[in-house]
Amino acid sequence: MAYLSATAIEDCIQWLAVAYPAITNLIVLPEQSVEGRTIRALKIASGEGCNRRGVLFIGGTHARELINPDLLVALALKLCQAYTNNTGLTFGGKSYTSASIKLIVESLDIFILPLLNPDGRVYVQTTDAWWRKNRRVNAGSSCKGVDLNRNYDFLANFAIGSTSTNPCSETFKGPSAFSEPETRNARHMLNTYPNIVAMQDVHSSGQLILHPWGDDDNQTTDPAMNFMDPAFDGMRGTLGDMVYKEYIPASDLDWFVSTGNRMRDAISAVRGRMYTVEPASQLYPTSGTSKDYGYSRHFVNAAKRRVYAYTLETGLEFQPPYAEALNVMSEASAGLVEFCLASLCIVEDLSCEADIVDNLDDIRLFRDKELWASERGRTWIKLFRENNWEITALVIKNPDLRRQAVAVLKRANALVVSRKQKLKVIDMETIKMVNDLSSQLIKQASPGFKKAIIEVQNDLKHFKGKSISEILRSH
Amino acid sequence: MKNKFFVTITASDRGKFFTLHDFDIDLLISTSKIKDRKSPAIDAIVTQEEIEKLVKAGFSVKVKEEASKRQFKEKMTDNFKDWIKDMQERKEII
Repeated sequence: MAYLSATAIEDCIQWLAVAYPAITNLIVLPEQSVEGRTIRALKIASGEGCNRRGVLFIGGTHARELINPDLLVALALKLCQAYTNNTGLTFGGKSYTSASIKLIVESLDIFILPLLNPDGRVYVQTTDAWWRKNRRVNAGSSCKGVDLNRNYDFLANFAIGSTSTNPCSETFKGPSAFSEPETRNARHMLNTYPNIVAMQDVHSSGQLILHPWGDDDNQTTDPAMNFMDPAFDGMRGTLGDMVYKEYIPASDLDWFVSTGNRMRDAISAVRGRMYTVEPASQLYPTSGTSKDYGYSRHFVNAAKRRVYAYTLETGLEFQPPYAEALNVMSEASAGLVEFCLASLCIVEDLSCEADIVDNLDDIRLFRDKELWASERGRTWIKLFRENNWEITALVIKNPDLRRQAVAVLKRANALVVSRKQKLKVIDMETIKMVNDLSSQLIKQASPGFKKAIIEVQNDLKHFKGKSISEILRSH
Repeated sequence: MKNKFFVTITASDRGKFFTLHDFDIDLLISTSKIKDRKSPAIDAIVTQEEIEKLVKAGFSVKVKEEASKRQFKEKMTDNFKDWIKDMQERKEII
């Protein structure tokens, strides 16, 4: 068996859209590659929920990393088959039930862009097995190509660490941010589908799950020390110093690490390979990468959604024999399915029914600033994150539970809205509603989720007659 | 095209390690090992001339393999339907 050519990848994506028309949409990206090839993505989704979340997978950025376009095409095919046939998916020692696959396809928009850099893949096939960049002719240089994963708009005026201004370098960042049609296509996905909240740019190799930031060490205490402030220009990119560290909100860092750990565990269950979760800067500092651009967008423009963006580095080789490539594809697929489950959010799923869409930003602010600031609040956030997909699975399919959850959400929203009013306290009826819902959920919950529900129920006993600020202060 | 080699480059300390990007060589940064190591190391794909430059600059360079030995030699398949059939035979898909 051999890897798919660039043509075969595009053909297969088009075929999937024809073979599974009920759950797929073919997306022809607006710009052709430097050498004139059309680039396509596939959206997999059943139904059209209001305020539905999107997840984006990108592959084939670096031409020589052959596994990942095949991996994403195979994953698209497996998701379509499993959903249509109402079966689960098994990857070695890791299995997902048909209910989990149904939940993913019916609750998320999954965008798969398997081959960002088709020209590079053709060049690898025909000429140079170790080619990495696209095939741009660089003005004034005999060297071709731009490293697409240094061409995004993140600290684009700099060349930090492993980012080069030399057209002959494998990490040449190009003449300007988004100078390349291929990266503009990736940006088009984020701009055109603003419901995308999570993203994986799939690369090889190293068995790594990398999260922001890439330019310097992370810090969670000084929001003013960030990539947008020119006062720090020239100070970024030296690891371990006290001069500059990139700000990341603690709540976001927790999401990146806990979700990365979930992916790591899912991958490990396939055949025992242990991937490492870490900030990308800990390998070698960079600027202009997709993950940092994806995640930085909402800092630059608060109107944009926060995108939890990662770089997944699959396997240990760029071009292993296909039998080993299949093993890598299997373990990475488990990681990506787990990532989809971690990206579900019951609050957003039910936000239209609960009529709280307009207040979601304030709810997020409350979660990230006020809840996160208290120890108990952090525990609740973590409990909720760990069990979000299971809550979603139980609530979505059961009309009674769904009705109860919508009612609880409305109450919770009212409390968040009125949290500054000290006299607004949690009444008995609200506590009863949460208790009733949790008592229903616990009947069908997994052992881990049961434990979380009991913890919440115990907390609830102390809430009656207290305001939110009192509760948070008392813990 | 010049012969290339997979190598591991080791620096004497972190400061020296982070000057590697000045050489504009093909560093494989996902192989970087800097944590808790006195002598940080990283893999790269380099030519003979680049190896000589690195050694002259004081880096230790261990050649692992000629790059051509690691490349996938078979032709990529243009027919995705054949690929799907192979995937079915291997029970990767139904």
